[in-house]
Amino acid sequence: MTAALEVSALAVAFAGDRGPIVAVEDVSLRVAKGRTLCVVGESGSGKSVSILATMGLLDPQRAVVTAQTLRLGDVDLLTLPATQRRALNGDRLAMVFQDPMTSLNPYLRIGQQLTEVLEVHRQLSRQAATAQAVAMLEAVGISAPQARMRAYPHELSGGMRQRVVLAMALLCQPDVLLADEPTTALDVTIQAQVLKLIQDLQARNGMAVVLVTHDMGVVAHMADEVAVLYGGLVVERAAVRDLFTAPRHPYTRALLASIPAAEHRGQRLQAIAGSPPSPVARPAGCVFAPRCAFAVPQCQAARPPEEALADGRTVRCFRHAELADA
Amino acid sequence: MPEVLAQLTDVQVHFPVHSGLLLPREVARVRAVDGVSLAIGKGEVLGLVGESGSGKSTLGRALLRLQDVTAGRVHFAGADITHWHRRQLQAVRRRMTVVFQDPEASCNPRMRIGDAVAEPLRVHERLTAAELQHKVLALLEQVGLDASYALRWPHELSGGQRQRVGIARALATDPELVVLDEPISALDVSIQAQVLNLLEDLRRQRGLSYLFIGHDLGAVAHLCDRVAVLYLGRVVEAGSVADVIAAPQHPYTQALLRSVPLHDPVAARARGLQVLDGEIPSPLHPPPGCAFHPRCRRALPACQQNRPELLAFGTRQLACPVATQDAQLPIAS
Repeated sequence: MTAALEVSALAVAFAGDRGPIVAVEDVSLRVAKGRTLCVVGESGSGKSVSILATMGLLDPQRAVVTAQTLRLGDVDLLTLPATQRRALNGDRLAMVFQDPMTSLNPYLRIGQQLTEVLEVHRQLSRQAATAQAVAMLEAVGISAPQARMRAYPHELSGGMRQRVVLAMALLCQPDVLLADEPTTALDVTIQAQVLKLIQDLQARNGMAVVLVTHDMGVVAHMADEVAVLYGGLVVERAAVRDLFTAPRHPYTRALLASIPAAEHRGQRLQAIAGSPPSPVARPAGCVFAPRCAFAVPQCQAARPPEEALADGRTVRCFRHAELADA
Repeated sequence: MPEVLAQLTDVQVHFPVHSGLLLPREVARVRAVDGVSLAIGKGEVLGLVGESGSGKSTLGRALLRLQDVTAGRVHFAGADITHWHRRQLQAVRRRMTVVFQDPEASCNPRMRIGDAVAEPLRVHERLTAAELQHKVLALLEQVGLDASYALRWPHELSGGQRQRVGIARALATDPELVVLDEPISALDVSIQAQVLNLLEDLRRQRGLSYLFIGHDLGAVAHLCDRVAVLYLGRVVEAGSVADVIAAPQHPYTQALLRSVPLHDPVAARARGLQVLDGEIPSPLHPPPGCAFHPRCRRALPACQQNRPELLAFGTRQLACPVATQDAQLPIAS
């Protein structure tokens, strides 16, 4: 099956005072139509930069982006002229950010911001665009959509704003939705509402979803496949059940083991010592080795390659096979 | 229950809304906290949970006397401190401290880490330079930062390290109570567990009491002894973690817990996402009767009129007549 979005060997470096700063070293992502890929990682893992690079939203003056493949369905984004690539954003490739105010203009009414999308991408008349925008607000569960069209962003709650941003992203029925921590700033109750909404919309229009999150609970509910990012590298990629039942990379294991839960009350949490690597002082060997409980001298000396396993997953660890048996 | 260290009795915190430029008059009231009674025992961790706008942080500030109360009493270590003035409070302030959510905001970017930790000691204690340095280094060590950090600047530290500095500062004056206002929410998952372990260790070593304000119910269940669930400025359910988190009775607590994603893909698919419709109402226009009734699936017509009282049932407190009846809870004498 052809992927709705395919990224391979993506690398992003920013110009720094003391040489290039590597934000993404080697990231490959692939998601099929109607499926959800969750990208998991902590701050500095390169998850947001990977998404921005995929959208072509990084400033070419500051960021050097290279990739082997960057395809949106049958369109090769690498060879596409910048203006045509830009035209795909918001049309076939849509994005939702963590903070809805990143996408909303505080000075413009909701309606104007929604209809603008359709006027630009679909050359619809104001009237036709308004009708579609109202229908879309209704689809994302906003009551009294006619009245909300005249509201300014500050008149809406955080959850409402994120719904408006989702409506805006989905107006052109994109093939792929990239969502970067769309529920992190929301209460758990509103998070559940927004995640359910994404599931429902996906079931209806069959779009592919790339969901960036740091919450393994969100992953468990939403993902078909998971890519675990650490230090600018995909350290493990697997189907969601495989990842949770048998994590192969020590970082994935540690991440899953560190989640507090009522069952482990009174026990010490299995914290991961240390902090993620700084992009200006990246380890020579495995990026996780300084924090890894299983590291051996080999891990400090060389970067483990990405290894494809029989069950379709990939893992970047010299010791994954022996650790899996242990 | 251990000896009570801090207590809020029927506390209300209202923020008046004024209108009119020349003759401003009160046109409305935001009832951020609307009649809450809580007690924190010595060495106890009380969790405070609820959605944004439920009044959690305001309640924490009222307890610390950083926020004046509209009505009710605040007791600390046996003294009624509700109306104490700045000078009187100075002696109490060193005994109850706070750690905020955003470690960035609690570090002055122009102050070295050592100076930031020394600041409360300079205010509250008269120490020689050598004593001060000794104490600062000991505090840093207790939160897992070695002596070299004393000379560093906040921007050189990661979020987790800055939160450790915030904790060291809060512990500098040997407090008995620390209000932890979402102390791990801004941290990465792998760092959250480190800080939770640290908080647990410090509590054991020092016999501290915490008021832990958080929306991560997993962390609350892990760290707290008792939990109070807040909805629109009122406690709807309170009790031990075993009562409230493991066997919630209030429809709101139940819905809140069901909204938390499961960490198991098989169970997650089987159950699906459980959605509580609607949003927390504005405290400017609270609904009549039970504040939760517009979102409650079990609401009866009576819930729209009568505001339920928080009643004690054994060790649990519950403000829902419907749940009380269904669960056939015996009223404590």
